[in-house]
Amino acid sequence: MSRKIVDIKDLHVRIGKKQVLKGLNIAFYRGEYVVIAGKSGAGKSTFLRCLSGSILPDAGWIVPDKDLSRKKIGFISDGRSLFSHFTISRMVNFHTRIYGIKNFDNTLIKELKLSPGRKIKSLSMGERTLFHLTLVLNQKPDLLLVDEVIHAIDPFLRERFLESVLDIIEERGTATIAVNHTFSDIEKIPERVLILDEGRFILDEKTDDLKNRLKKVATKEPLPKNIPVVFKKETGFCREYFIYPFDEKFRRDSSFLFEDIKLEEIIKAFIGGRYV
Amino acid sequence: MFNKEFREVGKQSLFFSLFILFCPAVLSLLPLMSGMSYADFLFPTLQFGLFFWALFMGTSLFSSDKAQGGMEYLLSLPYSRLKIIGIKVLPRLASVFLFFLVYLLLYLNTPDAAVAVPFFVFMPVFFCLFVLGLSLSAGSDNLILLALGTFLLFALHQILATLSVWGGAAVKGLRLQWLNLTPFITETYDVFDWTAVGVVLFVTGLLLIPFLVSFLLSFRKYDIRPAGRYNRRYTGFLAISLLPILALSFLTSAFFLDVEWSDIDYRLTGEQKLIEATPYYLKIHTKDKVLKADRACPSFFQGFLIDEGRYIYDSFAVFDQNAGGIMRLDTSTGKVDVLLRVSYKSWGYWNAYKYGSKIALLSRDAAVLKVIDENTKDVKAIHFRHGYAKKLCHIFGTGLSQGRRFWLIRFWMKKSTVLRLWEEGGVEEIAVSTAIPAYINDILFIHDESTTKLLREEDGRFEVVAVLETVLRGLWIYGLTTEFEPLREMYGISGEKILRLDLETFKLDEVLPTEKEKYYSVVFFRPGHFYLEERDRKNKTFSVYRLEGKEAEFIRTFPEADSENYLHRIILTKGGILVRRGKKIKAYGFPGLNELKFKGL
Repeated sequence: MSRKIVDIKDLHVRIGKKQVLKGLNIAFYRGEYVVIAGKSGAGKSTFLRCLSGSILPDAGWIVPDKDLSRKKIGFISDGRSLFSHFTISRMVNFHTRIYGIKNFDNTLIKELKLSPGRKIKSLSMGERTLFHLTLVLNQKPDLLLVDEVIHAIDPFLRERFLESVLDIIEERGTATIAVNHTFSDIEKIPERVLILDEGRFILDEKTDDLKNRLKKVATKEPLPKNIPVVFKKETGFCREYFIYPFDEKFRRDSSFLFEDIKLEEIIKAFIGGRYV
Repeated sequence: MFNKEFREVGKQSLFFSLFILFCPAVLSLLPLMSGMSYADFLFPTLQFGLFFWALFMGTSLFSSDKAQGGMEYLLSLPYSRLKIIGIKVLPRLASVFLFFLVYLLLYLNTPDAAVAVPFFVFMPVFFCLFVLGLSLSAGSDNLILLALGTFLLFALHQILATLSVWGGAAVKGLRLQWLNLTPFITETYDVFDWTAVGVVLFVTGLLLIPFLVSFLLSFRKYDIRPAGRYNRRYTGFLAISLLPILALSFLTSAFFLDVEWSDIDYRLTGEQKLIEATPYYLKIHTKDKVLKADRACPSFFQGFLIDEGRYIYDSFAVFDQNAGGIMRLDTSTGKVDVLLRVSYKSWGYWNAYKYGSKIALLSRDAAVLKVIDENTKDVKAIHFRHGYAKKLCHIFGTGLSQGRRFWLIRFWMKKSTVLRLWEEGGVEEIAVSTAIPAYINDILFIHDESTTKLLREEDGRFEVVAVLETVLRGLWIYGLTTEFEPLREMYGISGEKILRLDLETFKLDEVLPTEKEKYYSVVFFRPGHFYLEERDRKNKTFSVYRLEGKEAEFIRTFPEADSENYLHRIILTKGGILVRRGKKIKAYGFPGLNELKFKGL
């Protein structure tokens, strides 16, 4: 296992009267791509904001690796927060100075044909996301935090976005923590999946393990009690049971057909249902 | 990031400067404002503009970032919260100071400028609005709410500052209104005590600290969440930090506020008691005790109008009660009796003349004479009509003519016009005197260029009874404000001699030759007590002689007599000599002018 980049201990955050994060304990490692999923309001963005420093925890610790400087944390918030009255060139200058970036790579900006004189507020959501990504990637981040931005950009830009992220992971071993709702485009990317529900992680699995440990059975018959069902869904003809954790002996001991399912469906199962 | 902030504040400052320069020009062009110049509008516009500017610079610390949606970006920058504040506050502070300096320079170089607010009001308000606005800046996104909040905090700050200063002053027993310690010091009153100014400004500044500290402490935990929790934290810090600072403000006030030594006036009475009079209290020092007057601090302004031994009569003014009048102090008990109380409007510089139990007081324009019975406190007002302009006037004698009471007064300009006021209200011009007239032993002394005439009242008319072939000056002598037994002699100055006048034979005798460059005054307090002051301005000495018969007996010389400096001077009083050297006071008693010791000094 690679080195920890950040360790989170007993993290509590309250927003208004709601306890949004309830004592999270988790560690992230260099070079891994982690997807955090969860229902709206589960605390995903709050969690990323805590890591970025824009929200300070009410209790608990975020312990960075001793080599992780704040300049090496890149954060793209779901609001793509930048100074919208700035022009692109001014924003680049500003970001470059703050983060001590010496050679700014503006390939992405050129690809998007963004004029340096354009104001940030005039950019489309996709352009703004890519521009923000350009700024952040030029930091050569060791920890990249991406908050629900992919779904808002068109397929072409989305692909370009993911390419860039994968490049930096490969180049620097950047740990990427992304909050996502849609998984069709990133099906093969994440190494680890976290599901946050009501301020607690209810799932933390390597993607491959998860795919092996979660299976679906479609049947009209009830399942034996020893098979753990995480979620069940009624269809017109039968019931779909989502089994977690799956054990090969279930296949040996029964005649049910246990199907593999895609990541998106897995996430939906967890987000949409509860342990039964 | 400094660049960003400086650029932003610089741009705002430029717009503000243009507005300030442009606005008076527009105002001066308005038809309603005709006759007023650009300069007439500049200072008021600048003052109110700067109030707005200070408020805006404070409250808008994050408004631009919030408006641009950049708050989350800002807070995730690799800076600590305190550094973010530092970077953002510095350019604003620089702008605020720069504008203040510009204002100060304009103010100092335009002494006649029409200002809307005096400087010592403007300065604390300006900086308070900035600091208080700053302390609230993270609490809301709404600038109007922040401005309202700042005004509320400003009111709270002012109440606390006033309470702590007043509290400190009250502990010292100082009369608050006299200290003029309203939340802001104004220059409108005569009492302008620099220690009090310093204390008020210090306390004003000190009481800003809790707001600033609360802001810094709570901002350490500031993030992009709704501001409710942040505001609660700010309020908590504020409540905690206010208490010790409030106590410190109170202690500072109590420690430093005191009677300004220059406000303390000392008088030596005929009974050789030392009166210590301040706007706040009145003390009577004797050898063994200190008595405090039972009434809170009426102020003795004129010295004593009348010193009758145990009782001292003087005018007083109590500004906070909008009143003034005449009071009697019993120097044996400290009891104060107000004999006459009038509103401050009709209060004036009054001269008093005492005969029996009656005290006559003349209004400034000699149009009203009030006669007070000190036993019954009955006041009789006698109105006069005369064609004399309002000049300084003075009662210098009273008498009876065919059973009718009259008072002699003089209008005092280059020459003295002597009038007789009758009790029933009539006015009669008696004479014009080139030197100060006197009325002694029922004889009126008036002067022309070369002679002094002595007139006696007979059948309602003043007839000349003798003419002295010299001008006998210096008959205006202390103590002639009360009746006394007939004198046998008088002393005066004529040419280069001190002369004695026998009041039975009207014969003049030389007592002492005078010297050039020295100034002489004959001083009389009671029969048999004539003194001669000799002031040598060149050598700064003050010598005292006792006059008796045809002799002048030298008593003592006091060095370092500086008659120019009110707080560094030598005063001859009925009881002796008071020597004041700033804060130090020494008294020397008649007849030998030996030093007197007083308790509590």
